[in-house]
Amino acid sequence: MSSVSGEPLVRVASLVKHFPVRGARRRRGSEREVVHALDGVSLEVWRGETLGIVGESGSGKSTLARCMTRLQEVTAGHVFFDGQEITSLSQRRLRPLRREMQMIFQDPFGALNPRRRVGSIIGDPLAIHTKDSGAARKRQVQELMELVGLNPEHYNRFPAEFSGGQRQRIGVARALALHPKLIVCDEPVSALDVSIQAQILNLLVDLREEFDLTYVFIAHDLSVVRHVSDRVAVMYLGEVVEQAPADDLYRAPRHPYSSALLSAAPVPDPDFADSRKQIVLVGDLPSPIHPPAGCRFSSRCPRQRPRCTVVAPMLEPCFGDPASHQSACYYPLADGETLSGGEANAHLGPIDTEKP
Amino acid sequence: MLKGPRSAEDAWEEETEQAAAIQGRSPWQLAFARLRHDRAAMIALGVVVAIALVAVLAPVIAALTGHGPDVQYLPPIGTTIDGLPKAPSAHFLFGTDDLGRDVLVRVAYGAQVSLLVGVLATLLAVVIGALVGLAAGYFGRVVDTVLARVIDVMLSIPFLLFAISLASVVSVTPIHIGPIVLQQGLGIVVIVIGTFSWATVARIVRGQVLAIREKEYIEAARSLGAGSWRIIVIDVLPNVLAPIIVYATLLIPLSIVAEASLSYLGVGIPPPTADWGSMISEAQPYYQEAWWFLVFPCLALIITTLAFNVLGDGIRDAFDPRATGTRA
Amino acid sequence: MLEVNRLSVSFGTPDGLVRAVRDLSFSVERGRTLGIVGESGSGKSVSVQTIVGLTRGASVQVSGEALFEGSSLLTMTSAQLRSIRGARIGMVFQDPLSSLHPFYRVGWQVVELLREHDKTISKREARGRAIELLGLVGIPEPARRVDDYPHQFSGGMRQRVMIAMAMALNPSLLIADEPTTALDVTVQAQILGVIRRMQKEFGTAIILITHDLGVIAEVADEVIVMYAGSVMEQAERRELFYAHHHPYTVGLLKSVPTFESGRRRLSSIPGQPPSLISLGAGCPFAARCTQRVARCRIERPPLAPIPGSSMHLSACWLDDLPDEAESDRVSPAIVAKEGDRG
Repeated sequence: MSSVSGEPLVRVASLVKHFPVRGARRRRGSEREVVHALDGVSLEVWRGETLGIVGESGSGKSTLARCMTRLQEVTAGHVFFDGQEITSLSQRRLRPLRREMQMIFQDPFGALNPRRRVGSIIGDPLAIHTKDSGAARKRQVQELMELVGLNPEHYNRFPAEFSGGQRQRIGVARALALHPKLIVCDEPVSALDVSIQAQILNLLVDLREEFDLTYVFIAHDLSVVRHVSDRVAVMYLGEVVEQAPADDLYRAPRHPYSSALLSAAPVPDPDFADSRKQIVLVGDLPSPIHPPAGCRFSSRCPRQRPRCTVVAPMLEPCFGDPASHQSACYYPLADGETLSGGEANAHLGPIDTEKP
Repeated sequence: MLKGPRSAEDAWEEETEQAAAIQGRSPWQLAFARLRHDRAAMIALGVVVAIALVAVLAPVIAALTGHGPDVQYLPPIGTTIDGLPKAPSAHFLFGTDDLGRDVLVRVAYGAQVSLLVGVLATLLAVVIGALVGLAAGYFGRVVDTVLARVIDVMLSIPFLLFAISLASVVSVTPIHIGPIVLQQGLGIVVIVIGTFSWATVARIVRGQVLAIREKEYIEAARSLGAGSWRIIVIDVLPNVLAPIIVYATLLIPLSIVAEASLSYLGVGIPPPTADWGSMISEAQPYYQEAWWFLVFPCLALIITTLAFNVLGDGIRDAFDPRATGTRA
Repeated sequence: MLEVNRLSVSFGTPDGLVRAVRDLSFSVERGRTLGIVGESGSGKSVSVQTIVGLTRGASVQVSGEALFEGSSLLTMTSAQLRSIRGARIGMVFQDPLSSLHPFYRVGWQVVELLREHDKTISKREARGRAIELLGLVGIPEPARRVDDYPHQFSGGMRQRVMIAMAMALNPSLLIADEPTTALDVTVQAQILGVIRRMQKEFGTAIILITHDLGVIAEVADEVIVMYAGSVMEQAERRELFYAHHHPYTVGLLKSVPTFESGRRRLSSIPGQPPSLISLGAGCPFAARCTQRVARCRIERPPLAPIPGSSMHLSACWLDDLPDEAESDRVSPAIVAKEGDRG
């Protein structure tokens, strides 16, 4: 792990992103309905570190990635890159910055243009940003291909001729072409087989060492995130509910949702699986169009109390945690405390914690 | 796969190479291979090539028979004593028309006109339609709204009425636009047909582009800092090319028929140029006495249209195989 | 209750014969769960689809035997299979959005299913049963939601509906093909809970197909590990995880990141799965196996009990080679280098 210091490389402050709901009727006097994808997210990413962002569907993690890299326009809030505010820069002014921040996408089948040859795909950033000749580009592309574990002879092949893992390597090579400072990985291994996942994760870790990269690593798989991240942020319904150094989070999660997430993750260890009391959350994710008042997790939280539905809790350290470990909860879990069905919500029915 | 005393390593190399050999084909190559196996499409392609050859070699046919396309042979060689067309014979393989002209030669020259108009009009329609469709689909919002309306307007103008009016006007008074003179003839026909065909192409392209725009590789291109037109040309266009080609192949016969219709109505290619549409029109009064005069240009038109349509179907299947079953 | 013997499935394609499944044998009893785990291309889905007759076609070659409650499934007519599917064998697939008809209300679909298999049941009775089933799988306010359309349910709820439909006629066997792969992890926990509860209440036998070893550890009683169409290892759950034998199983277990793995380098399996067309004569895993010896590429090891256990099967030459010298074994470093390349 490289040293971490100075100004954050990326900073988002009170980021808000609302999507208009298609076809929503605009009632006179009231506001148009929107999907609350992000509602006030503030994060920092330091040079050289890997920030993991974990959340399920609807958490807003992908939207966050896209807002961070200005692939989406933000509704409100600020994005800073390397000290410079980029929230409202024009596309033209943004272009040189694009060399510094790149993205790796989730779908190895969708992220590559099926009608373009692989060499052209990987060389695209070079063609856009440099004046290198075709031959020089080809040489660089082939070097990149070797770097990520591909055969440089396959320069002229089409994406369809590669396997899922190889296509993801192509995506990595493309992201690496301009030697960016930051790479945002949006679920880079979710669509891959387990044995290939490990290869790609190893590759990403190796490249990080070699090129002193900063990663924002987005995933829904906790163990994957744990493996690569220095710090982790947990998101739920458009907000960050907890952020902490990876070890701290997995050892002692404070927020009930983090705890539920950890306990729900299947572990390939039968004795452990049998013995642990799994927290099974009741109910569904609330609608992002009408998020609940107060804490957004309260409707499914076993520890919910009246205070939770009035005002949302602030993201701050609790129980004497260092500043690096923050959670947004009025009743966070103490050290060693596990989430249980204790204060059951009568109106929700008993918590589904039974194991056969 | 394994042969005798060779080492396991060699055997292994061979297997991986074999696996690799199965791959290594571009999407275009794959489509082409599929097309080759489509017997109907291959026959259609043969017919199209034959027709093109006939068109190109029309002067040769004229030379071989010794008859020019516009030469009127006087009775009793060209027509009967009563002035009726003469039946097919060794001298006139397809017979003659009401003015004593060789039908075979005229059909051959007619192919020139048909193919030329078909291809040029389609080209015009595709180029304009693709540009409009790409812009409308990719840029969206205002640009899309405006262009989509233009497309709608174009599609609601009745082709035949407008074409007839325009062609009639210029046949009487040629329109001068700067150095260009629009008068009845090939030019106007191509322009008119092209103008009425681009809207459908644009609509198809726009639909495709709207779908492609959401794909991750477009997002990836934007994240790399590519400009809009670069994305359109390099990333979007290759994926839209396939439907464009398919539609173009189906647009050619439509244009040919449109041209024949215009000429049939007298507002297309002016006489005495040999043209299937006008031949059919001229043959109508004689269909009972001289079937050959009507039948041969009709057959030519039908066969050409059919061939292009079958070929177009084959191309569409080659690009987009919804497998109905695997062939062992 | 379901007994499968040496099932093999191959597809004829323009490029060659795809051997999707080779010599699969297993049995499932009442109240037990068989987990079939494998990556893409392992043949896990194809094998089960073939058993219930969903892969019939001109280019499909099937050999072997599948006996369900005594009757041979592979030789049945389509009509006979149709009456078994749904009634005695329930199925749940990965993507409920494409399994449920988007234009019909959910309750209507359940009612149709019930009436299709039982002509005597009245509409009112069927509707009542539909509501009962929805409640059984944990859908809140079933009487109100029975008239909703599939798109009005969340992914997890839709999958519950699928389970309700699969269990509607009280089948003796439930086949779940990657039922939770498309769902969030918290929802996955819910769905697995529902499935387990069904089994407890009705004693259904379950075949669960997944690529997730964690899911297997939680719900399966017996486990089959498949790779490239063949069974690599077959054992009871704890045996597989703690006394695993086959190098593929070992590699798979080691490549799953766990909370404890910290930031150590994951040991991965080099290379990628082979093409099912050009499978050679030897063990399909040999190219990627760090333990391979010369014999592995030439001769396919049979699925045989490992020393010391009659129920734990493994398809590997490993324990059979006391005479092979250590130097014959390929060093992991070499395999890793040639395998990691594309």
